[in-house]
Amino acid sequence: MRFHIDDLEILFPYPRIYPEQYDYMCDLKRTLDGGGHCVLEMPSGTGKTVSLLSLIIAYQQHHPEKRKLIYCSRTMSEIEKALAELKALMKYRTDQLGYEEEFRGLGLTSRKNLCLHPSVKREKSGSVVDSRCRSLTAGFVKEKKERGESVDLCVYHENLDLLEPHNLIPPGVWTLDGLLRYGEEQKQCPYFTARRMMPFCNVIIYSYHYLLDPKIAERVSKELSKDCIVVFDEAHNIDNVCIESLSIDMTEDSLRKATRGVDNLDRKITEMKSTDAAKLQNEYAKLVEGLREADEARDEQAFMANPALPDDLLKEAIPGNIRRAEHFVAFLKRFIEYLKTRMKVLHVVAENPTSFLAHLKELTFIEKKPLRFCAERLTSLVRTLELTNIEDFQPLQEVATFATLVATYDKGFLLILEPYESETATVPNPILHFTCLDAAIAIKPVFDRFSSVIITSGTISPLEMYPKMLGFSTIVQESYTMTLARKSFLPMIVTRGSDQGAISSGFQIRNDPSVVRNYGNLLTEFCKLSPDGVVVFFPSYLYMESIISMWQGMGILDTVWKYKLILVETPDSQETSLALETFRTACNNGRGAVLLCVARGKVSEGIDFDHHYGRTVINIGVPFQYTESRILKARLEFLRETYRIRENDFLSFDAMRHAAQCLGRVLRGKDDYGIMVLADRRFQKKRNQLPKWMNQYLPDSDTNLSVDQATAIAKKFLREMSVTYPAHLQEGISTWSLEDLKMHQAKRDEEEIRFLQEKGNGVMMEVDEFGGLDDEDMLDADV
Amino acid sequence: MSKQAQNNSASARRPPEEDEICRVCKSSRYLNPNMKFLVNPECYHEMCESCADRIFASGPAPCPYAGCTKTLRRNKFRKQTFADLKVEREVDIRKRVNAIFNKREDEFNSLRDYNNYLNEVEDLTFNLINKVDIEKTERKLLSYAEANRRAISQNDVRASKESQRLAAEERLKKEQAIQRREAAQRELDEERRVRAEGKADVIHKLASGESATKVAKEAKKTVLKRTLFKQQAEVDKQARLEAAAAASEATLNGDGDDLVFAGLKQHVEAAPLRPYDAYGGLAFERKMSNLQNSYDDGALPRHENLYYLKQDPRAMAGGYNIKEVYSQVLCEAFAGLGVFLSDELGEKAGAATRGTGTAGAAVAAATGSGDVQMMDAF
Ligand code: SF4
Ligand SMILES: [Zn+2]
Ligand SMILES: [Zn+2]
Repeated sequence: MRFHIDDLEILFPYPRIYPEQYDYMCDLKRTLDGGGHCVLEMPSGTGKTVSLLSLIIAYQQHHPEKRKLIYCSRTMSEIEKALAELKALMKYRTDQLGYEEEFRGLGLTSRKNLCLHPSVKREKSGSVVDSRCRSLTAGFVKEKKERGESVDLCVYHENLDLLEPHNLIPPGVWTLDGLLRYGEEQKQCPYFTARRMMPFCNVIIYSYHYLLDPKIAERVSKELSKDCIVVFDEAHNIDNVCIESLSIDMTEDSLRKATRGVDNLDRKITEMKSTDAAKLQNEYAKLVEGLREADEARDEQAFMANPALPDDLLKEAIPGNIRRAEHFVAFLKRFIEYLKTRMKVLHVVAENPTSFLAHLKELTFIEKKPLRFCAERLTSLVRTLELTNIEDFQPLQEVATFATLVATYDKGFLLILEPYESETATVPNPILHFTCLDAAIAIKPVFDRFSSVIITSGTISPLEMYPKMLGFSTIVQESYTMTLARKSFLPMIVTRGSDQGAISSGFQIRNDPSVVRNYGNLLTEFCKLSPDGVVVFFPSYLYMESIISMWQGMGILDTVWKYKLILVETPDSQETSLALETFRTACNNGRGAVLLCVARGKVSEGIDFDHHYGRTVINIGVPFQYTESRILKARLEFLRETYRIRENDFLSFDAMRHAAQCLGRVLRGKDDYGIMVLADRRFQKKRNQLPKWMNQYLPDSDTNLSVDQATAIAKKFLREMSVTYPAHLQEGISTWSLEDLKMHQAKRDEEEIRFLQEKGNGVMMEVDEFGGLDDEDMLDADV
Repeated sequence: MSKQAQNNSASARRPPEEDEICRVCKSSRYLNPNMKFLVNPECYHEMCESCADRIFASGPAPCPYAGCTKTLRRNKFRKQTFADLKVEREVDIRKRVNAIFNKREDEFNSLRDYNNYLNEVEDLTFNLINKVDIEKTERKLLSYAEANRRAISQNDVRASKESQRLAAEERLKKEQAIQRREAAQRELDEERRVRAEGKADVIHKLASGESATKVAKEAKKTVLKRTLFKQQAEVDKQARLEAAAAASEATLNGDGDDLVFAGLKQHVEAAPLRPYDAYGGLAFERKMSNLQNSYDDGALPRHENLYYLKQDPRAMAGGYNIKEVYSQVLCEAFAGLGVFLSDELGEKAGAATRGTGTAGAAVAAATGSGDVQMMDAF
């Protein structure tokens, strides 16, 4: 389908378009034209990705400057999906236009997923793959080879050097699979192909971290130009990603390993002094001059990048007291010893970086400035020492990262020492959390650098929260409703059991047998009435476990068992994937199954239960965070003080975004249908925090139901759904053909003209009336 | 907070590994769970507290470790801060070195110089730590300390003032945070209470038979009022908080037992002395006229011609140079020109009258005649 938005021709690879897709595209275009950021909430299952790509590619090809698109998603499967969509879109464009556009689209993921080296790729841990790859590809290894020493190199990497650097791979869209296959055929490394081709790509699809984690972004995304269009998809959790990328946890064990790392460095320095002192001397001389290696930033193999954000980076020379390698090693040792001493304290300590630094200085005479340079100095040293087994140095690297961060930021961070794992533990197992409280810190460079950043998700309500938390301003903020010819999903809020007792996962009554029994009844009823798959979300593992064991005692599980196979999510990801597998099989062969899982677990975030895999989703309880967590408390306080977001507002927002995320799992398209049950008294007041498209189909009458009322409504709904609904009835309402779209555009244009005329002079009443009539005629004709 | 943590760490330190044994008396932690280990910064040989008490009870004694020749005193024994004794010793050395080499970055001409200084100090420290060239290094250290005694103590004072100020600020910040937290809590409680009251009120009214619609309407009205009130309260609270913050900022110096003064000027090097200038830099220069060596305008009558002033004994009577007389006369003649009445009238009335006075005097001087003629001059 080809149509125009203003003067921009869009090639949309489907014969029909949803009205909300059209609106979404219009708003996107508005954002790009205006050169600003936006937050858009698009109902899940309405083809968000394809609309986004169609519009941006059209925009890109239409304008001479060909702004690059950087599309960030969360998981591998989402990246793969987006690449596939892009590929289909480009194929459609070629067919329609009759010629192939000069275009490159690539996805990037970690070495672990893209490595081809026969032995390296078999490693299980990503960091080992990184490290081994480095030992086969680093510049100094190659130098050694040239000098005739016998060292191993990776042929896949070597072959890349034989190719033209800007044409490592032919134009086109390469899915990760395709890239791997091409790499295997041509014997070239897919990972480095993608990395090196990034400047020559029109579209890059990769994970959030490549842009948000300063340790990675500095290396991978540094050269992207300012006019890139950045998209964060599935961004409802983006604040947590930002925070995690700057937070560090240290344990006694990791510190011990760090000490071992320092000792290793020390040994290596002594060795090098006797064999190749010139290298160390050379490094020293460079540091004295304040020279940074010119190509340092582009060094694909760099041990680690400076974790401080570009704005805060110091561009001066390394301080004199850590210039010499041995001085620096002693410095690190002292710092780690200090941290170890802090770990010995047996009560909880929370302090800000300033007071940490003051105390550090008092005890060890370590000043702030050299601390800031720790990460950089360590990278330089590792490079000089030509270390290859860098995975051994990871804990040390973490300490250095921590050192740099704590000395760079005095606001938005907090150190929390927790000596015991839980309230009841008697054996100390201290963890030093260095936690980032301010999501805006990590994402700030992105907003500063790129003129258009698009933040979008299926559930990103309330929209205002995100600009507030992330510290940016938008030019477009929109939440779209879902146009449905018939209501194909049934959200409802169940507040009472059949005995009229309120149900809630609230702390006071959560283990009340009557509440648990009512929840049990709810589960039984819905398992009875809904076909195939049922998914149940609990607020936490702990709560889930206690409820399950109580249900067991009450015989509820036995009843459920008659209708559905029962499967449970566990923190172990392998067990969970097995459970999922079984769940799918049971749904496919008609046995039906119920999956009990956790609202913040893996299942709630990444797994879709489309069609018969999820006919009913039940949220048992409001998925609040564990509020006793000190880190959360600190963050709440920070939000209150800095952004004036009240604690309860944030907690409630956070709970509701997870609830919405869970509900969204079962509805993955307009031809899908499902029941969404929110089972907690407290949801009644929070319904406004649901995404607009869910709220729209939740009538007031359905917000205060008892279990049997809910059952009756659900039965009726399912009966309706079982009647086949001919596709042509949807046309013109929930899906548009090209004519429908043209008509809509014409109507909108006319409205606009009329509006302008009305504004221009008030004597246009007649025309107005005619206009109104015309529209109605047109509508009648259509229906 | 951190300091307190440190103090408590002694008592709260959890038991180290069970197999810890005193190398002197061979008693182990297993037998004596309260055993404490001490070190003496002379040689850093570890021993348990009871050994230290026993051996050094009657004054200084040699270290019980075989091969150690140091003589130790009981009062120098202390608990170690770091698990690694090497670091413990290193830190002790650093403490000494840092007390001497406390120069600051702003005392150097360039960052590079400062870095070189740091490098050199670190080299010295390393020598001491690794026992390389100890004597030479010690000598250097001592002579430097001797030579720079004043600068060292000055920087010392500066540093301690800074850290005090920092601590005071930290304390203040923490207090404010607590206040804010409490305020937020209070607000929340208040809100809850009001809501509960409202609900109770509605129920009560309904119970006493008022019409439901009316009650509902009223309830809505109160809610609205409350929201407005809350918004106002929010604004007020903000103002109050700001005021409180300002106030405590002001008292930052007054509280606590240690005296810290706000706004102290950072230590400034005195500029070299210059000759005394009574006018404090005010310079006099002629704007209106040029002083010439001699004035002779034959066209003018004698009493108006400056030329004849030279011959006037009255002018020279004081022993003046004729040029000074000219200067004086010119000054009188031009004084006040360039003062614009209208400008100054705009200012205060008093200033204005003064301005007029000056202008009048100037005019009088210019015409060289009495008050009466002054009016005609304009
Ligand atoms: S260069 Fe590529 S193929 Fe070779 S080890 Fe590294 S990631 Fe694997
Ligand atoms: Zn002993
Ligand atoms: Zn000794």
